[in-house]
Amino acid sequence: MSGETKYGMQCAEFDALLADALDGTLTGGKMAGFDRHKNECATCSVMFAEAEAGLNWLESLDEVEPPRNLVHNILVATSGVTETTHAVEATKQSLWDRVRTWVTPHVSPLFTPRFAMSCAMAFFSISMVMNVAGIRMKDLTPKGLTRTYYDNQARVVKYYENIRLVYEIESRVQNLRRVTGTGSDNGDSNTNQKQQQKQPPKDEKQNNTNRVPEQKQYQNYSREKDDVVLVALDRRLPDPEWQREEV
Amino acid sequence: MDDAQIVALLVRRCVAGDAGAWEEIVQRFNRRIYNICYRFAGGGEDAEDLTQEVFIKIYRTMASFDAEKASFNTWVTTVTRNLLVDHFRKTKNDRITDSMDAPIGNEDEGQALSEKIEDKGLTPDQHVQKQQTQKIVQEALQKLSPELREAVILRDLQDMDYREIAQVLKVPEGTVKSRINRGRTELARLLQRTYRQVS
Repeated sequence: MSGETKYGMQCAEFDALLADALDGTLTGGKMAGFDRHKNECATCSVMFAEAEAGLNWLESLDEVEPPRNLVHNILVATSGVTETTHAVEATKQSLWDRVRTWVTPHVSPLFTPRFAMSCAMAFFSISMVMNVAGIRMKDLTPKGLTRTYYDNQARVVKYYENIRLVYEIESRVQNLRRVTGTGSDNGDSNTNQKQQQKQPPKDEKQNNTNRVPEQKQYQNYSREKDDVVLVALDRRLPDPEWQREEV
Repeated sequence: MDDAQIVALLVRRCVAGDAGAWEEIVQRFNRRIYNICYRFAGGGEDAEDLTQEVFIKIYRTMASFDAEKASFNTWVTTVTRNLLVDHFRKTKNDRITDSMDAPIGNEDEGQALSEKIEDKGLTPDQHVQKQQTQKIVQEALQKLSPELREAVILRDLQDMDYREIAQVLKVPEGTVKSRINRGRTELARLLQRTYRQVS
């Protein structure tokens, strides 16, 4: 190969120019002669192709990252310096890197389009439900939650008290208490009634202009027309005229 | 002030006993020296030890550096190359007993910079394929003779010019080019053979 002369160029000369040709630094007549020789000489053509492939392989190798503690170790081994500014930075970085290394595998599935889509759908659904239920964002603050709690509590109590069954039971219990209360606590009740008659409540004093105490009406839902009226006329009523009219 | 002047000033300060200047020199050159050692020795642990040895040698002989003869970069590379050749000679007998097909170094060692910094343009498959390719090329590089290996490492991986390489290897530029050509073609043949075996 080295002694052969083809198209004005020896194979040895081709070899010498090969590196420059691959660098792209060959110009003019040398480049033309090189190309001609390459096209006609099978051996040199193969050599060129192999050298080019080898260069491409070598260029595919990336730079290697040195170990983090390398600089620190070198400084310790040479000047005996144990603390360096860069070493401190490296320590800080290594801590961050350690945290990141630990966290990344756990959270990386969260940063996928599928998960993001699911999150968006969930958020949309929750906001829709909240909107339909009448929950606003300000209701979710501590103050709002407290207010909602008391509102709901009041609503439940009101609902409970307005139930007919409860109302009936309460009225019956009150009637029974009144009926039983006439026999046993006769003397005491009479005295109490007298006291009450003498000192009407403040509301009655203020609102009742004809000085007649207002009678409380207890509605008995369970009573039929023909049933005996258990609720007797209030014996506390002082006005006889009103009693006569009623009879 | 250009880079060569800054380095020359750092060297003068370092010779005068400035610890900060030495730290700056270590910061500037550790990556380059580590990469030469890694590609030549073929393993992360060896490369780390060799890099430390190189810096110890540089630290001890820095006073002998002559800025008029060569640049500091060339001088540092020469020191590194000499130490690597010494290391190669010392460990030659150990390597002969090793199987030629045995994997070189630990797979986890010497992570490439591109592996540490996530390449968002690559899919996981492509990333794995790239890692695999780099491992195969590194293994093929270890099978080259030291003369060819050092020539292609300095030229193709360290981007040194032919004159600097000639200074480091103490051979004429023509020989450098010839070694580089042979190194590249030899590497391509080795890889062709490997891929033929795989397929």
